[in-house]
Amino acid sequence: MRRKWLPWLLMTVGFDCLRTGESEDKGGVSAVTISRRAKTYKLTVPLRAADKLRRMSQGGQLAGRWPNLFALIVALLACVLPGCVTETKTQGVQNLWRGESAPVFRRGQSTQQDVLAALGPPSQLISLGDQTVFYYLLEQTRSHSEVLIAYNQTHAIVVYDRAVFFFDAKGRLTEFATSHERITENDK
Amino acid sequence: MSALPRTTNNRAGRFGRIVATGATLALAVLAAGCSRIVTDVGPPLPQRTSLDLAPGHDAIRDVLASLGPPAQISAAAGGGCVMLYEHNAINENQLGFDIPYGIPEYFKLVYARATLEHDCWAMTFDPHGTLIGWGEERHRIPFGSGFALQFLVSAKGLVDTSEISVPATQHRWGMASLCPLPQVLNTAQSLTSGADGLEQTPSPPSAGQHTLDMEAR
Repeated sequence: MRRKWLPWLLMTVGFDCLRTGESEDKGGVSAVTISRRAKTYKLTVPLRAADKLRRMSQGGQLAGRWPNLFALIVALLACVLPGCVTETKTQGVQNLWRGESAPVFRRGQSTQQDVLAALGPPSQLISLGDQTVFYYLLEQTRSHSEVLIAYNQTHAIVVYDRAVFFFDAKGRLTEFATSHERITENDK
Repeated sequence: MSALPRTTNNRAGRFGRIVATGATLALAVLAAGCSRIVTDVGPPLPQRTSLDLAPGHDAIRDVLASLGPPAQISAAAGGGCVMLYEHNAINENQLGFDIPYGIPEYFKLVYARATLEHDCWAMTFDPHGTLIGWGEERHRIPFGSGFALQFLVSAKGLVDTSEISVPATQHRWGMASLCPLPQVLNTAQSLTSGADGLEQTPSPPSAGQHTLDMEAR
């Protein structure tokens, strides 16, 4: 059986000691004995390939030099070829208080009904004596990983987009604020 | 099988092989599976001196204008309230070791250490909304360490950071009555409802009101 590619494949993937031994010429092919990791194998390859194997073996090239160079190249490629993973997870209410069409609230004028109608149910409702607090929260986790085999890096950022509204006993808006951190449409 | 004769080329090849093998081993042992995992939760808190806020002088309106909504709000005894501003950052560094031979070469031994950077402000307000107390905590402490056997290309955190990266308590506010029975029976002492106080995120679950829950968070 003519297997021209086999010596080159063996030469490439043989990380450890690879030597050619005795050969017996039989017409157009040659029986070659090679060894790798203390195990011997008999192959039938074309004469030209057998000669090449024999020459390289005698020159010391098959005794680990080429395979180790190959291993080095693979290691270097593993270091520079990145595998990137980006993940985004969002939970909470819709941040309707952001954007160009965001509702406008006024202290002393807006009511609980105005806020509920504009933003929907809050994430949390807190009773502070005679005051009521509506707490709106949208949470987003942005994770970016670079898997380089030899070196990996993962950076996760948790961003909170918040809005809080304080109401008096009559349900009038007394204070409100939105967070400096914000989650835009492009982030979702 | 007859041995091959040694030649000058063989010696040069052997030197190159030693250098290549050494470099490969060094790369495999020293750099295999080194990882850095950073988790940043919430906005960093500015330096306190950079803010024009003072207890006894400023009110909720001034605080909200300067800092925005807090991480948590809760009612306080006497009709006031308390706000918590918090920032946590966990930095986990992993050092991997690989055995570049046989089956073990597909796995790596990984040692990991994590540090926690924790910044927290607790602000208390009287019933009139005036800032009356402002506590600060800033520290950078070891958060944990771990050792594992991982597949070569995996990059997974070894230190349990779930107590820091847990979703905000506001998301679970409406589920208070669906918690396990010991927690439901003690909702009057809940630290997440906004009515009975609050706590910092890294607080241990086996202290304070959580002991009534009879289990870890």
